Amino acid sequence: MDNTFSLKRFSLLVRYQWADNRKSYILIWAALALILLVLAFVAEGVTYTYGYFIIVFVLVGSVISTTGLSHWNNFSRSSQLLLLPATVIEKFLCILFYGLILYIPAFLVTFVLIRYVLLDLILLTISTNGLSPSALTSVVVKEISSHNFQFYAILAMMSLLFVQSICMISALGFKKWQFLYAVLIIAGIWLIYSFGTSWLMASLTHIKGGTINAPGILPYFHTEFGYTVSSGSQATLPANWELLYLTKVIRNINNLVWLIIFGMLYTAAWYKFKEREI
Amino acid sequence: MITIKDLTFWYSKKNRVFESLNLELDTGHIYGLLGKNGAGKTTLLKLICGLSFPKSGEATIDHLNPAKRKYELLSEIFLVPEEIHVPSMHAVKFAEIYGGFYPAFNPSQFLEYMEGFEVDKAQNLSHLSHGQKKKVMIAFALACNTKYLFLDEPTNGIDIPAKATLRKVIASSFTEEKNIILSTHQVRDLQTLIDSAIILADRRIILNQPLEKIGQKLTFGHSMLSPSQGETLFSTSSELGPAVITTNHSGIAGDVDLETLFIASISIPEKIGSFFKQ
Repeated sequence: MDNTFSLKRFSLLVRYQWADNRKSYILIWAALALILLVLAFVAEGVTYTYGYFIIVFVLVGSVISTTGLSHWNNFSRSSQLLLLPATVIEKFLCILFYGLILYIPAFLVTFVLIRYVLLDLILLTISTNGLSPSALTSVVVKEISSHNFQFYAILAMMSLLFVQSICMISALGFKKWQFLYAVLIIAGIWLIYSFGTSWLMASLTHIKGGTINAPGILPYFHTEFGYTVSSGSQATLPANWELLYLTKVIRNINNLVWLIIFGMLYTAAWYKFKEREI
Repeated sequence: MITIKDLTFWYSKKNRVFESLNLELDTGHIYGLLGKNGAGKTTLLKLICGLSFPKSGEATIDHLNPAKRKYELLSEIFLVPEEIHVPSMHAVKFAEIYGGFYPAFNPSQFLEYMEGFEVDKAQNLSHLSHGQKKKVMIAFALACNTKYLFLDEPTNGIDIPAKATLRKVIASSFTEEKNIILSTHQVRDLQTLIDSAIILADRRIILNQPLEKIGQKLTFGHSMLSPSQGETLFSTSSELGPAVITTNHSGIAGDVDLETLFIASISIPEKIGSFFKQ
């Protein structure tokens, strides 16, 4: 076990990674805070804003995970990482520790602090539009526990896992133009997925759901089917129970397939890391 | 033991770096890996450490494949590259984090060597000059007490007093259980330190012999100062007059002039190579 995973070595790696990339992490976090602040102002009063936050969440998460993997042109730095006495799995998990385990709560805290607390403080200072602390807390709790938020939280997580794993493969697999390759691979997979699922769903349900703005399987889970399961008193029964059942099954299969794909993509990234030459 | 069997390696197929290379390097020796710029010294170290993979053949350390990057092997090797990367922190912190990975790391040894090199341990490592960073990394590498230590051009960029200190600390830290390979093209800097010479040229190893054996078989001198008695193998001009290598028939090992031997090896590789095969 000691030759596969050691908690002591892992904690040393976490400290090593921090020591080696501290400036980059702090800069990225500062940029994230600034973008969130701008978005919070822009999005003030706009109902549908999650899309922007998801894009920022995914992009920043991918940049963080590739920060420790992007020094391949610097021989001394990259050789130091590869020859450090720790197993490949420990080093890979350390990168994911910063890119997922630490990043997600850090993003959430920054998101809540900026989107709600800081924005509210600014609004209270410059006008009377701000809320009292208790009212603000209830707004935050209500929004975070809403079905809408949870739906987008899952979407954000799935998007992060997808984009991050591809970015890691690209950073490890290509000597240059890694970002461009990552964008092309992501666009390619997304296009295949969108058209593939649109065709599949249209074949199964005889409803054309895919559009350029909402491609793939997403349109089939919105209210056009006549059900808004968790929207309380406004809930309407679906016109077709079979259709509802079918879409639920497909949604779950879709999520499961994606989780398997993410697992495969991260495994591929680990393999690329293991086989990396400099 | 480091074993290289029929190793072939290239960066591009048209330009092969090594062709069917064979080499065995035992513990208890300080090897001087000599070769012109671009001869493949750094590449050979990368192959031995597992940073690059052979196209055919194999390189092993204690029967383990370094390309697998197993913890048990990584904890026994240390590579000090020509260019040094150090994180932004003080020496003590550096030793605490990085030293933790190496089971035999001795922090007091590290500080002692730092003192020997006259490096201010209170200064942030990233603020040090290139030469000072190199001294820190060499001090750290020696304090890690790994079985295998590879130093790529260790004297490049360090001042003359530090070169003397370098020879002293390497000699004092060396034990019969260790194997040190010093790659250099500045032969004179390490002449008094190494006990075996490996000369690389023309994609192969021209010579791999202990200095004692070389001294038993060859005599080095300047015709003006010491007329040779054996058959002249090679002569070249030097600041002291013609430098001459002759066969040694006395059987008594004399001093080896590594610089002349190196020039001879790259000028008449076949002759030098076949002479030692006899």
